[in-house]
Amino acid sequence: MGHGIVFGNQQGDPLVIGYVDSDYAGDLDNRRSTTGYVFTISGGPVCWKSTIQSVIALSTTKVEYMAVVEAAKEALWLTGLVNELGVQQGGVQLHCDSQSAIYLAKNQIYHARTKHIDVRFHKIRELIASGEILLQKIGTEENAADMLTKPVTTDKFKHCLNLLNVYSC
Amino acid sequence: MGGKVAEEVWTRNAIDFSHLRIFGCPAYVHVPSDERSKLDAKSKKCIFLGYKKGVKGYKFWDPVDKKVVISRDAVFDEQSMLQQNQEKVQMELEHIPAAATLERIESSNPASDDYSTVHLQDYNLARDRERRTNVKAPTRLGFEDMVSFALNITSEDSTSFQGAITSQDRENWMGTMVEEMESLQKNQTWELARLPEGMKAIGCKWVYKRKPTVSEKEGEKFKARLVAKGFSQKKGIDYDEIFSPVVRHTSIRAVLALVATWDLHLEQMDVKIAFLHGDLEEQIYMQQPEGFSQPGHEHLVCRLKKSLYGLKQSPRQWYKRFDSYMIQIGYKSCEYDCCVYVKSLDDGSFIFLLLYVDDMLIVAKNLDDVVGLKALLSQEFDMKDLGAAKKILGMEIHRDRSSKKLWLSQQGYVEKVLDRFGMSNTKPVSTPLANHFKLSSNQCPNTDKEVADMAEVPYASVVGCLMYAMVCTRPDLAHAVSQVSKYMSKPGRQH
Repeated sequence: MGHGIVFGNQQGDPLVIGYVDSDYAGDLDNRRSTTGYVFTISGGPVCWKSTIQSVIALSTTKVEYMAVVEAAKEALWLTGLVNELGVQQGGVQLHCDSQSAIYLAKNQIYHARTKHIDVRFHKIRELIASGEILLQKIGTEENAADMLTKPVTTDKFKHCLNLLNVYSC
Repeated sequence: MGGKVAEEVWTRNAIDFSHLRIFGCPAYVHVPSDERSKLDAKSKKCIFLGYKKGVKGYKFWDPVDKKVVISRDAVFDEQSMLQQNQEKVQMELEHIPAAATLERIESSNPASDDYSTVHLQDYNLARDRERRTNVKAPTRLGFEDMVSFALNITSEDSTSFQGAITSQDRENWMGTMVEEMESLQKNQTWELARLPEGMKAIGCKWVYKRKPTVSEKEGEKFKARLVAKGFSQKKGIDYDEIFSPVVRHTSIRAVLALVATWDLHLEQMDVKIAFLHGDLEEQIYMQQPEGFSQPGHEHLVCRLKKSLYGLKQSPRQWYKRFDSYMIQIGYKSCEYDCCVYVKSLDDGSFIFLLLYVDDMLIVAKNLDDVVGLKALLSQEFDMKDLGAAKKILGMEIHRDRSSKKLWLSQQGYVEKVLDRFGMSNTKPVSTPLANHFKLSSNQCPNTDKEVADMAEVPYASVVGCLMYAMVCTRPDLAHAVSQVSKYMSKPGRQH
């Protein structure tokens, strides 16, 4: 009940770090998938979202890929803001737990299984190429965005809250 | 004995009565595991009757099986009972003549915290007790009843001018209204004019608010405010643009994160009657306020010069006015969030200002800069300095500057929400959604009866309250809220 966000028990410059996750076909009614992302500045979460995706994805890779794109858009806004507030922010570290989505985003492969992915979602490739987004692999256990996409166990939930510096009083 | 209980006289300790339960209150009695199968409910709802002699246990009436049950494992729901009592006392007060000379006993009713002090004085234990004997066993208790309780917590204030000047607090209301009129006149909010042909004057209305006692000295506060009936304005004639930007919650948190890491000063200010500072562009005519029309000039109307509460364009006009002033004194509005103002100082540091309608946060490295900006703003607007920021938008801010930590929470808000929906006694769980919990539209009500049943539950407002907590400080609620929001239009029992 008295949970709250704690900011600033980290050393160094306050940088924006993001975590992305998704849940494939989690909605029982129309089989749409869930996007979840959270961004932290100096340890505390400042921006998060958990939403049903607007289109029905055909594979888990695509689901993760679309989640990464959603997060990247938010990351751009957030970097713009903190840069204006005087933080020297380079590329945003974006942690994603799907290896295939990372490969898809980094490599310009054109493949029979990925060609249905809309051009709009390939924006992420441009951002990665220009260095504005640094996409990194993270283990599912360490991904704080996990709790935004599916109901998780109590232990996992508490672990996620610890990762995000959400403590009770 | 002096009216005391024997034990108190003997031990000289005050006796704790907190374990005594209200007779007739609903309770959830645990069903032992050998009397139920795995899928049955673990408890059943009964009514508390009393204590069985010679047995260590409570006596309950089970309305379903129609028999008396004795059990020690029960959870009592006194909240709903207390709220119901309060309602009945209120009703009875109207019937009992004022001359009734009943001895007044001071009581410490736990429910009275929710009500104003006026109520407490009228509360009478003797009468209350007498009445309790003829209370019928509550038959229709349930969540739906709590809802109707929740709604009558507020609204004791007069709603009309007529109501205010005939109520018993007439002098107080008049005083505040005169004050408000004076401040409006000081600001030159309007001038009297003849209504041109073809124009229509919009109405206005007094809004009254009673603020509960904060300290003993001040007593209850009365507040009256004149508002224009903005809903009768027409687009294109009375207003064009009404959008007014406010700062994003994300920006607030981002700035607070910087505050924590760089160890900056964080101060808060508040603009008094903010909307009255905005200048109006359109010509708007308003009827003269009720009870304060100028003698001899009753046929004239007020031509508004400043924006007034209730007008559609008021927030926008205020924002425009503030924005132009900030730019005038050398600040830059952020490209990414136009309600964040930045100015870089000579020594390389920055000074930030966040605006949320009439609340603002000022952040800077040096306290002198903050003081300088405050002085500038106070010259231009009617400001109230709130010192170091404690609370913004219902989020409480605690700081520990030695360890560079900043703690942001909404405990007060969450408690209020739970209280409003009668859930403050529920058992807390550690996760918002258990992982076996799947919702789908199959659970939406199919029959008319189910629909009617659910119509009584304020599903949308519960979700709305949760949503606000989620947006402000609770990322952990995000998934749960997004799940339940999907069924906003047609909620079922499980949702």
